[in-house]
Amino acid sequence: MHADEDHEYDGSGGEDEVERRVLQQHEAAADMPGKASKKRRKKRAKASRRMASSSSSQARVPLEALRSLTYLLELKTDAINARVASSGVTGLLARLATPPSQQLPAGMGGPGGAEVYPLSLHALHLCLHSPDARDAVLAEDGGAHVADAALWLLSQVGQPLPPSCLASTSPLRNPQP
Amino acid sequence: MPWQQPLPLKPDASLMSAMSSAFSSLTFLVRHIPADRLAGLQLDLVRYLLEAGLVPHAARLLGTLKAAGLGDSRGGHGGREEALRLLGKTLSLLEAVASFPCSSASSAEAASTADTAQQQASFPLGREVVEAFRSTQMAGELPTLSSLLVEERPSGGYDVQDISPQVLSLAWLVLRTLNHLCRLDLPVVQSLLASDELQSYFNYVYSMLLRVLASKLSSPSTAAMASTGEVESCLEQLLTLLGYYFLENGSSQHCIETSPILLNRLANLPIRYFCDEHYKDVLFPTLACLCYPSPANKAMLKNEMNTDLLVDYLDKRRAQRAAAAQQQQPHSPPAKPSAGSQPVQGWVLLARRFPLQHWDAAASFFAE
Repeated sequence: MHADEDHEYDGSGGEDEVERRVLQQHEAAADMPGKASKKRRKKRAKASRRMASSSSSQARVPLEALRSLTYLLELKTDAINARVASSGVTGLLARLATPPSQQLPAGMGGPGGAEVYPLSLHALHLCLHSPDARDAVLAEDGGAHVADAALWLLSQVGQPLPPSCLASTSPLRNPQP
Repeated sequence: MPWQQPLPLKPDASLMSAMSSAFSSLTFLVRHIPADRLAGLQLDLVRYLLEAGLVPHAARLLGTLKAAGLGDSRGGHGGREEALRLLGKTLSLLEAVASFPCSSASSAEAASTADTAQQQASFPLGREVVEAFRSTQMAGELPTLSSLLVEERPSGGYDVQDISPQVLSLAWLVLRTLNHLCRLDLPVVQSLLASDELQSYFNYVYSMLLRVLASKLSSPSTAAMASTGEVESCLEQLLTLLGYYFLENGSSQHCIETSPILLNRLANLPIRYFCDEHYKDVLFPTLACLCYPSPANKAMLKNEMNTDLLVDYLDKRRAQRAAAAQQQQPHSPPAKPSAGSQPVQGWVLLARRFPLQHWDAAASFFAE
């Protein structure tokens, strides 16, 4: 499962290539008469692709970071827990744990992006074994984000979800090749 | 009622896993004792959970898991283990929410007051928590536990012979939640447990659990010995709940006259429940709640055990309370604890389960 997801994200360089070609076409067409409307369309396409690329990168970065963080948290050492609690990561995890339909940018709802919030929930749950982390989450109003996540998940009971929407939250249970 | 209608599908394994993580995180946050400056934020979180309908949603989830055949290892996408894990996380969260108002109650006097309005006022969010559970008939926890116990029966048998560690821990959570709610508003919980919807479940749960737990404690097997701590803890919650259910409840106490099996089972618990002070604090308040002020129940109790033990216990706790009150008075010399005296907590434990205003009268009642 993870190999497939990585494969999808390895294609992000391709998106940069598409963006470069669109930009070249746009520049070539810029001086041509009668192409004003086409120019505007291409500008919009460029902006749209840039946004998609940016969102995809945003999704990829927390996903990889979350996987690494979860590996560390599952070791359950006091030093790691203390470092996480004091780093401000817990509040970020609580925000990322909110389901994609409510909080995450549009680009993060795509393949792999939907992995962010269950993985964040799992990482947050591991963090909260530390009392300092609980204080940190409360201080950053992270409890409301987790509450939203729990209520959203409860509202999904009874609705069949696509398998890709909710992946296993523990990389240790599904080690990457 | 929407929460009473189970949803058609059992959640799949991935959804159950995400829910387990979310519920576990919330449980950590609700049970946490925060720094003073964060107490208000924690209160806001619990209020938000209640206002957003956590309890009805959770009741619906329990109904869905039950309807989907929780105990059927072949059923569901996630399997029995994952479903039981989610059930445990859900019940833990509900227990944490129910215990939140009680966790701030530091005074045994406040906890044992007979004035319900005053009692609720002393617990932050007490009224809201009770209403959330009342409107969902205790979040459907008793029918769920009842189903789990039914599934523990051997094939073709009627009675539960043994209970698995998982179901034991789930039972502990359900009983503990109900006990928290009793402390918040006893009349409401008593009337719910005696209602047409819940009474049969409650009777089945307490009779089966009492029989199985007492049997496990009496069993000399090594496996039973290994789980003694868990069994005793669950039995303590059960006895506490029984005490609350019968406390100052004439109609329920009247039922004991026609069905003496309950008093018989209690009187036949292992001997340590009648000799060891720690275990006496578990059993004797329940006996007092079941039999005071019913002469018929007291007569039945006398047939089962020597009630002088109960009188002696009440006298000791009264003396402890008097000593504690004397210590609190200004300008009075601190009382030195005599050798072998009980820890101060003993009388507090009794006060939480059997109201202070009945102690003197109950001691005379059982001595007659």
